[in-house]
Amino acid sequence: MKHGTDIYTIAIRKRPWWFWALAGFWLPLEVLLLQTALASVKEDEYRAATISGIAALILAVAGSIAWLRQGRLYKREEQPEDTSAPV
Amino acid sequence: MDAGIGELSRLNKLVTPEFGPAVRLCKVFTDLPMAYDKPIDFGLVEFCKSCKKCAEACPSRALSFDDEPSFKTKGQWNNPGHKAWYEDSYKCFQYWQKSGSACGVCLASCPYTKGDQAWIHEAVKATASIVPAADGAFRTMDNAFGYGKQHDPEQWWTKDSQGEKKG
Repeated sequence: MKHGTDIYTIAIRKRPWWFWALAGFWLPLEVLLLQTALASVKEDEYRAATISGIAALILAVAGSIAWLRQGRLYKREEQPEDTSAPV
Repeated sequence: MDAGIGELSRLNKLVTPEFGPAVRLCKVFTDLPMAYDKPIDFGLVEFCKSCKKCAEACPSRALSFDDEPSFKTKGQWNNPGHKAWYEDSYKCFQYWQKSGSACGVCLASCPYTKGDQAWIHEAVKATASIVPAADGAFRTMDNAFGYGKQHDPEQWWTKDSQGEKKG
């Protein structure tokens, strides 16, 4: 393949409807777990704070990975149109 | 109970949806024309049927382990005539004498006795009031999260009245 003849198309992958539904469930749960972790420290419930904090961290990491993977940019290589073909 | 403040629990005491059994009642006499409240049902009796955490925590074994409340009283100290989990007050007060102070372990161990900071407590109480099938799971979670256990007294003495730690 000659230099300068490659055509690249950069496209943003559209997230499916179920992903948004999952995100709508994920976000309130993440907020609830974080709030529980912080509030449990105030309540002197350190075991509850630890469990909630770890759960919030795992959920945050998993959610972030899923979000980035679903919406990542990807590169599609296309063949250039062949203009030298005989009519 | 008739005033709609709460429900009768396995402790044979009032449990409110806001503060659990950690309440003290006082009366105000008035001749103001006021509307009567109605008894409330926030799922407590159903919760108590499967929970039994207070009965397990009671050092004197004064609380009932029966699955259902009944009319059967434990002694003359009980106020009969209604369905309840009647307690053995004799055993309870014997323990008070032995320990040298009021006990209150049952009050602290109740899953409805919670701090007022975390939103999840309200979410769990609201769910328990409409989904009795989840009661067992909530009881298990309450144990797993370490609620109802006695805190280190030293921590309490290092706090100021606002709940913040002293330096």
